[in-house]
Amino acid sequence: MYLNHFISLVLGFLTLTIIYKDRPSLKPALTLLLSWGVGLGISVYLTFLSFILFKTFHPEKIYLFHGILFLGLFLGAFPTYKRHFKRIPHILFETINQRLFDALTWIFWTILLCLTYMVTEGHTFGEWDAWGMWNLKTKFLLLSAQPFEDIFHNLHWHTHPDYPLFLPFLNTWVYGLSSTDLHPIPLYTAIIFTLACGILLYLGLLQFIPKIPAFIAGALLATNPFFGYQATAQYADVQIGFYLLAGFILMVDSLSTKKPQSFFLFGIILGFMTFIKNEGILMMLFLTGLTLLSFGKEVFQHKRVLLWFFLALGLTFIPTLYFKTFLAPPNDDILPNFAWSNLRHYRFMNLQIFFTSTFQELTHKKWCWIWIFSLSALLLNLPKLIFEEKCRGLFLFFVIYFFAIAAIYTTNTNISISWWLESSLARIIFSLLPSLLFLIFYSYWHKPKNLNHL
Amino acid sequence: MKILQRKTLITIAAVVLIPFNLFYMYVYIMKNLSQLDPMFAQPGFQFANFQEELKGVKRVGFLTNKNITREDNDGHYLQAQFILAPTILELNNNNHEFLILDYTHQYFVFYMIKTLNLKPIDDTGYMKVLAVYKDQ
Repeated sequence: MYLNHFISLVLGFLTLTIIYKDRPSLKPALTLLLSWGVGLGISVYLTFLSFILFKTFHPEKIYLFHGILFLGLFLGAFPTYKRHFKRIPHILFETINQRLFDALTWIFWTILLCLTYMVTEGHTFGEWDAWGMWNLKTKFLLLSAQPFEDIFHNLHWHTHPDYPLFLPFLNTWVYGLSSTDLHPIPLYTAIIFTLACGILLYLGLLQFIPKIPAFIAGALLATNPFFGYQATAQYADVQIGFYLLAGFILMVDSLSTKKPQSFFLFGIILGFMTFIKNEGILMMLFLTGLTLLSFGKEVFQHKRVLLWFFLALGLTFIPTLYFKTFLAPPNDDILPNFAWSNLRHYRFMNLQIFFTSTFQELTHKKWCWIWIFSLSALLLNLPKLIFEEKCRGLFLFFVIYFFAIAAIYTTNTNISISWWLESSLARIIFSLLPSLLFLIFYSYWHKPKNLNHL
Repeated sequence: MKILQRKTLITIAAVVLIPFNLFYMYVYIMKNLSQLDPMFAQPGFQFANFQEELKGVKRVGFLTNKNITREDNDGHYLQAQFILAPTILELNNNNHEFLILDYTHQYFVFYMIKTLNLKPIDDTGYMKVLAVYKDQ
């Protein structure tokens, strides 16, 4: 199981080496963590490819694809390694350095790993959608002798056959040649991603702000008990939270450095997000639009970097496009009955229910007041969020996304809105929490070029 | 200076919240550990007995009178689908060799067995029955 995570890490690291060559703009530890995220995305796509070609689970073919890609990436990265061979031990040393604060940080994350594992004791098989949808589909991928298209056409529609299959393919890849029971695989995937969100928040902020507030942000997220509970529910929401946070980090890095390499990696992450959940497609569209808007009138002067961005996004969006075009049935929940008569009858009441439920959810004590803290911090810093270029884009994402979610909830007439909010709203806002904390701490601590007027 | 004051407030609030979070995480973990049921089994354990008999079977009918709406969370149907995967369970479709009967009361089970002329081949202690047609 851990071997496959390592293989993905190596693939991702080789990919980032080829992208950045001699000009890395990210710190080594962040590069390593993003390598793992990118590598997992690549492994998921290779697994998906093997199912498209061979219809059922063929682990040897999945490993063959990984081997071929590894060779190609290694040959591509070899010139860079040859030039910087002597620096590799220094990079590794810098990553696993011996300064006291960093040592304490890594001890903290190790303790948190144990605590996160203990949190899962309350739901080792995950929550409802874990066994009713995600792990169910994983079982079909791994065990069925029938073509995997059965998942989309023959399972009951309550299993959401239109949902992308990032998490089931991820668990399928991690299972690999393992002869163990299936049960630990999604459990450990959830634990690893839970911790990875906290570490990514810390390392991502470390790229832009001092060490101590970066650590406080990561610790604040990772120690939140309800965040831990939701993240270990074995749903795909923690994956989308992780990749959205990675997208935020890379968006800020890209807009700061204006390097084609950063935009390329940013495009890759956005593409992966679209294959995790349907919300990922919305997030990708909003972040792409906000990136273009941030260039303003100078957008045509940066054609080269945008070309790399759209190239990467296009490449990693192809699997989602294939999935939505040829495999998945239409989604029942998003604007299914967009008829004026229905909207006139339901709109106001649904809006009222939505806003009331959102308020109740954000102020509920189960969140240990993290939302009250976050929204207060946003309000106190509102001028900077609106007027500063990089913060504005990230802040507008949350505003637009909130109204998009409101529109989806209030225009659906398939199921009771109260039930839908009760069963899904916590998960929707949970996936936004890492990125929101990133925005808050980044906006307070980073030093923009023109600070004098603030 | 104003920024520094806001920053200080946010830092203090965040630093206060961390041990608060850790305390409630500890409470949650202790509560779970004290309530652990050694007999706890995976979702769909009520149908686990049928796994051997249904190995290699592509489709099975799942007959039930329980509420199968999303709001009422599908009764036990999705749990059965999970534990018996990759066998596909077709809800309330009796055009299959094997049928699983899951009803709210045993009288309904007996009624369906008699009406459809079924022969029970296995059952669990949870009033779930696996049956085939008598004339097969």
